[in-house]
Amino acid sequence: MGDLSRWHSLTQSFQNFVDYYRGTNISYAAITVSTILFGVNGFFSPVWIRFFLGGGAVTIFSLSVIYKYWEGKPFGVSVDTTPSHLVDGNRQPDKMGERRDIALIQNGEVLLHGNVLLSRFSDQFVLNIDSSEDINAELRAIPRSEHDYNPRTNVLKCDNVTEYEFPITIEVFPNRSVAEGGRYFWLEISDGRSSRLLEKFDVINVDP
Amino acid sequence: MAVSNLRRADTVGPSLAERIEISSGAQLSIQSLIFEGVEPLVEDYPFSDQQIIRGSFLYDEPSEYTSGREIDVDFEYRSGSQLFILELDTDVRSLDSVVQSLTEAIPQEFIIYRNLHAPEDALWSFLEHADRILEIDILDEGQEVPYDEVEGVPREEVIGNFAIEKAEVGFNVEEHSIMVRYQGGDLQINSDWEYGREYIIQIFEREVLADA
Repeated sequence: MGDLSRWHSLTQSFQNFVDYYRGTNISYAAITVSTILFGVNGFFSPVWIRFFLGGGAVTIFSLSVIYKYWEGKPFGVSVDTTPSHLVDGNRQPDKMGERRDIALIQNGEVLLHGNVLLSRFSDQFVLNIDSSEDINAELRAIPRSEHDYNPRTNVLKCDNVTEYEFPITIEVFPNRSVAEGGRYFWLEISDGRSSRLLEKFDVINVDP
Repeated sequence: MAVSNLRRADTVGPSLAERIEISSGAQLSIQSLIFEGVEPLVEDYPFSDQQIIRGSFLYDEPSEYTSGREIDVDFEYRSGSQLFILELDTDVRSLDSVVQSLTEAIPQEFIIYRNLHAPEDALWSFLEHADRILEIDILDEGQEVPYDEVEGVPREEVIGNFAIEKAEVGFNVEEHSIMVRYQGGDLQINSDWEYGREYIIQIFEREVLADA
């Protein structure tokens, strides 16, 4: 699991930003408007109109990118987890569930196991784990000794990062019976600094 | 041979020792409760000042088909390392229900977590302190795999880096043998030696729970 190279960190952060940007409404609006302006730009010959339209297109697009970057940063954190269950005493991943962002609670539990990847340029991180009230999502183990975990607020953080890649295990279990609490819940892992959503699951309790 | 189950606990406000007052409830009746200090058995023990609350209670295990049975449970709470230990001679259907009834019987806010919240890298070094490794299974993308069978990763690189799903190791202290099993976030200790349990707990506290 060696250390990330700086180049890899840059490409990873860039990829995280692109995925984030593409998912926003502003990107849709900005790219549409910019494209229209740029297209209309081709019909005019006076320089000042071309300058205005072309410049407008570039400006609108750039502003949307800058705004979204500023709003969603840092992009150097990514989390990727797989739900898993105990099957005959052996833990198996639920790949189908992972593809659909669904974590099924079977026999009272589901374990989310995965990796957290930090960019080489980060020196700290804050991860928030939030879930619906009738389920508990608890870290099974704190990934590294340099991390701080508050089980009450469910926040994992580190002020002085030296390890840029580590596994994370989150145990999810209901705290009420199906009759009292229902079956449908959610879980979200987000960056504590920007509130940017990193991972999200629909949690469904399929126990009788 | 009693099995000790370790979990992490948390108290709010003044120390539990000062305010504890466990009342008996519908499913639980307290048999005894004592407060004592700790006698270090290992070198560089960081929690020599902590308070230990030991007690025992009778747990009424509910059953749909029979009238249920009463189970003897010993427990211990260690204020310095925030370790909560449960000891039973028989298997229960759900350790969590036993924990639940205990938390309900304690009036002030006292949470017993499902897991130890131990740092994973410190857990690895605790396991490396053992004299015998019987099995260590790690998680690779949600799949449980023995630690020496991870595809493409040599054993030395697995140690300290991957998440541990379960591990069974043995410690030898003089002529005594202690078996320790870590599984799904909690620890079980099995030993015929009367100090075996305390010895392992202290090593665990020193290696894993003490602040770096």
